[in-house]
Amino acid sequence: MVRLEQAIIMDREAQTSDTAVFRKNLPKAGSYSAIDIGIRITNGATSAQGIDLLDALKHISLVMNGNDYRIHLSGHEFFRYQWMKYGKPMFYTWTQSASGVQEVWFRMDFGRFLGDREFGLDLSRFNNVQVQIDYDCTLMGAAAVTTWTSGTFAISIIAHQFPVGSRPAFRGMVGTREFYSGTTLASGDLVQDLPSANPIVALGVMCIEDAIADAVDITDIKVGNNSFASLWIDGKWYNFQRMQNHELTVREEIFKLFADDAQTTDSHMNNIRSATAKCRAVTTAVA
Amino acid sequence: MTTAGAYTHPDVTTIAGNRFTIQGHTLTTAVSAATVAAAVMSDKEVDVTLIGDVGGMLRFPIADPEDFSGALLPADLRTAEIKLTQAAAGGTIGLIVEELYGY
Repeated sequence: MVRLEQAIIMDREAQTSDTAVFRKNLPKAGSYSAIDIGIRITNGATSAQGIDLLDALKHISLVMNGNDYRIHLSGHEFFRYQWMKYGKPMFYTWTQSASGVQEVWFRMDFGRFLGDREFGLDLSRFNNVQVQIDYDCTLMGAAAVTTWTSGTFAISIIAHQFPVGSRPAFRGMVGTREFYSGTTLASGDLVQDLPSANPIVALGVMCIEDAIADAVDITDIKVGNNSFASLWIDGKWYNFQRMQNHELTVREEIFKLFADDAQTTDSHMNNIRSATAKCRAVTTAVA
Repeated sequence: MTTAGAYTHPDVTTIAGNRFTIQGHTLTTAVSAATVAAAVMSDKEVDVTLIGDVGGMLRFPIADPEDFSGALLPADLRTAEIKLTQAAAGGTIGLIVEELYGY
């Protein structure tokens, strides 16, 4: 197998705007197996209580020829979907410490695995390929010493590419995109058509609400055709969740709080079996 | 509840590369439940570990991950739908597809 090259397209480039749609055109030629995207932000000088960088990432996208969104996921969707796909989360330093740096990474994979010679992104097939990051840091609150520092949202982009001399002739590429977003109602069925232009190799369903147990907002999932005369998926959320989480390699989340008494924190886990908190700096008396 | 028992608390004081340093602190003062309740924690760094399920996300592999056989084809998808049974308001929904694009 050919050794992939890691081409650094951007390296921690701080953005002057705290709210923007960042756009980066990719080269006109090249054969990519995947693109890694790293996002950083610096906490306030005092703390960053209640701050989760994923909240600021409205969408991370790969756009072909201006309007063909082949990857298009929110920060929460991307983080959780990758965890379910790979069995482990991508790198995420989640910290609320004073002046700490939060950092999260996402992988846009275009094949079945890194180095796949049959499926990947052939840049020469498109007039334009652009990475877009639609972000709004104010979704984490206004910049302040107790939240985040203005002008520190920084982006890294790294391409896993085949060397020029051994570019494969890809048959196609994999794309992963959100095709519907909304909010649950108190009752009734939500029915959506599946996209039908391309073969589908996997489906994802996200439903998140802070302080609500999973399988409460959505209880059942059905996927089929001909008005569900044929059923491909049919079952309870709670059963699917147990089966799917059984396959994961990592089922824990570790992070650092800047905590007060009775502080609540909204994590990325549910059905929590164990929660432990350990002080970094021991205070044996009243603080 | 009142206790006079000693309680030793390990504290990671420094982290340098792969090395971390632990300092033990033994708490020996007799305390009562009322005393404990009055001890306010404010702006303290706390390491948290949670074990559970990935929250709010299900992924349904449809095709064989090795050769993509079994993928739902456009002919199958012409009338394909997904139905979610809702039972409570306020959940943020995202429906995601992983698709194969040919060249």
